[in-house]
Amino acid sequence: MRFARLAALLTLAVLAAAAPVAAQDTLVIGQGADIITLDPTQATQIHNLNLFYNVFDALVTWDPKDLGKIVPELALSWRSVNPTTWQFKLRQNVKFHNGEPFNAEAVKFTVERLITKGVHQVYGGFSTIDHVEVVDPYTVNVVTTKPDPILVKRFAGYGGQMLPPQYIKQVDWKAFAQKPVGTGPYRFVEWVKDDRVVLEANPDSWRPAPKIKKVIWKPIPDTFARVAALTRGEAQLITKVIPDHVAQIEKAGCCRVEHTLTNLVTVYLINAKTGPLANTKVRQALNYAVDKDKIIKELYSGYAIPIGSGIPNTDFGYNPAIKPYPYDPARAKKLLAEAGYAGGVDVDIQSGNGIHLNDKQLTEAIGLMFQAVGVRAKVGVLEPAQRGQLLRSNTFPGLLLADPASTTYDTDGVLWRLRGPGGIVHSIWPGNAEGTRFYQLMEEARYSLDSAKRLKNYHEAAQIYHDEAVELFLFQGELIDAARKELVYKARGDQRILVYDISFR
Amino acid sequence: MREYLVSKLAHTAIVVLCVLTLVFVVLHLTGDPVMMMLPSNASQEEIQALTVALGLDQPLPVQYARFLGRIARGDLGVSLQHQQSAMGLVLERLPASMLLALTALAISIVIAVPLGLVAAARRGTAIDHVAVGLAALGQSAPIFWTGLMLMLVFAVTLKLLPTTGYGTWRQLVMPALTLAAYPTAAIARLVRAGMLEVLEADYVRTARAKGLQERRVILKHALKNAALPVVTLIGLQFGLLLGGAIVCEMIFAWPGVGRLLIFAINNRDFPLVEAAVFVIAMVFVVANLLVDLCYGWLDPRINVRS
Repeated sequence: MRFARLAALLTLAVLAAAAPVAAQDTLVIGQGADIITLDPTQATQIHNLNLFYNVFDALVTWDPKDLGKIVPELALSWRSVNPTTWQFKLRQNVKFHNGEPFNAEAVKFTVERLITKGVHQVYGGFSTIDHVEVVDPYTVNVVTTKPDPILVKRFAGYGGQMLPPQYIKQVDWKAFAQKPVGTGPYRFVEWVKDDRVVLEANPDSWRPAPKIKKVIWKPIPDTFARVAALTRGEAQLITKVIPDHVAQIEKAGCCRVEHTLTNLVTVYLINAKTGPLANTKVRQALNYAVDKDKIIKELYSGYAIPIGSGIPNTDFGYNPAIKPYPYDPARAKKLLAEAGYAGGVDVDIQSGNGIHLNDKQLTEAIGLMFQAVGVRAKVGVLEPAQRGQLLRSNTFPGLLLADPASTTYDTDGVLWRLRGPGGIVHSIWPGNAEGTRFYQLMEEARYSLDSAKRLKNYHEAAQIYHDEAVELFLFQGELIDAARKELVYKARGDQRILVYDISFR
Repeated sequence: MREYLVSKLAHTAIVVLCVLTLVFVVLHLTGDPVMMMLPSNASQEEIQALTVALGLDQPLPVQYARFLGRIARGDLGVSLQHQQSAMGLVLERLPASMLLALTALAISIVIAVPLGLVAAARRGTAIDHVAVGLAALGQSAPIFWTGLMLMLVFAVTLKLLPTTGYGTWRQLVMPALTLAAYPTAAIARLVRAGMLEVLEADYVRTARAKGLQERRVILKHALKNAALPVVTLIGLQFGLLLGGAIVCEMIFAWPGVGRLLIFAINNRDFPLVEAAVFVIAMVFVVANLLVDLCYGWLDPRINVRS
């Protein structure tokens, strides 16, 4: 017995001694998945983008205090020379991590990669660009095919990271994607697949030295395991916390939750080509039938705000005069009766299961709310790739959950890139066809350099979008991260984790 | 022996080709990898351009013919998402999967065989009831539940083990125990059942009649004869442990093949799924081959040569 107790004590001591202690200049970040590449043109998911934002710099970036406003990064200034030409003046004495200089040739190389179709994933963000001209080693002109009011903003979004031409020519794209060099505040150390990516402070950065010297990005897919890693102190920052875990984190005493509104809007796209959903009154009825406040409170613990159109309050063109559809089941029933569906109507409503936060539960809850007003909801769950196929072919029946967002904080991105000519869901609602008022407003704004006119157009377009109930408008969501109390960190609305701005108390 | 191996390998090649074909058809018909690669607001033009670049605009039979051509050259292609050799990605994760599967299997055998033996030898006693109860629990508890409970107790509450990750023996403990629960139960039940049957046999009665010690009767005469189905089960379990550790790998952030496979399936990363399925199938086959060879040793009446 005594021996057993001694053995147990010894085991405990060994285990405790072996427990890792992180130094206070090393930050471990737990994300939901591993990255797939370190080439900034080959991924667009936020957990992957976060690596790019720390290893690379773009020409411009978002002002953390006022997202949607751009501030200098590798470009010090920019101006519109003529309606189709934007000129950038570049920061001097900047070096890539391999010592290669950053200059106008690097910008030209990067942009030429961005506008090559079919070889990477970020072409869409830069498709308005025709070519680049090097004016002098630190001045470049970016020439667009038509006037592009948001050209500069495009460089702040994904794909805008400046690439090292000599290094890539030397090692090829595949090797670059495994072992990148950028100009960013952190340089690449190692990537152990599905286990960790390690970065260290770049000693030759054009910025002052960062406080965090080493960053370890750990993919921890399970939400509970991520929280456990945080409360144990194995990670100091975790992303994608689900609302159900907030109380547990706060109770632990060691940690806090960091949350902020994002520009992601959660809506159900409606296939309004034919059938009952082609009738505006039916779509309006669906919007009145859903109790958004209850959904936000029960399913998302209050971490969202209801919306009345598909445009979030963070984006240029947001119309504050448009209010969310109120919850009014009586009105929903009346509208259905007026549309000729007093006896009820059949509607498909589908989502993924785990693609968006609480998606299956959300769809089931809305299905029940629909039943209450006489809409016979056929609830379905789709696999991610299946969902993608239905979306692409514009053939999904009824309603489909989506969370569009603009990478440029502009109505064009969140709305017209999806529904405009060639957009992914360009043919699910006849109201966006050429010749309609909506089409005219959106196209004019897309190619106008007059901000006041663009704003006016978007306000009117948003009103049409709301009145026509083009989507089932739900909410603009918050992101929830959690951090150790000793970490000085604030969640950003653009979901980026910029380690340069983080420190330990 | 050589003939036996050759015919076994030929069989294997046919089976693996059938499996890969099935995977090819099912995946291609049920989802679009291009949509999983591009951002959600990609334009139809971008989607089309990438579809053409990947050769996915070709009719399915043409894609299948190309696929067969690649297989014939021993090339499983490049992962659509990772843009690296699919086989390379799988092989990179194989050591982690093998370590986890072998550890789990070792734990299972070490616990299950004595448990099954004791339960059979003490049939109807309290020990037997406890063993059978434990086995039922092990087989019915879902992996995600077992895993999260272990994490809650040993990592969060007692703070004895790290929550997740890979690289040290402490990180191996919980995933291996979680994964071992099911095979432990299955093997223990089979050992018990097999022993009960064998203990009724004439030669056991003869051995007892000779006055041999009960321990010797069980370990020397009964166990070897009851081992045949158990060895088969262990072989099968190994294949399952390797490919079926998906949930366990997700919970404990274990960088194994299962986690890679589920990612590949969700993203319709055809070459990556094919490569992972191929490797898992091969491990299955090799495990079964070893089981077959064991038969000859366990029961000389079975001749693998014929």
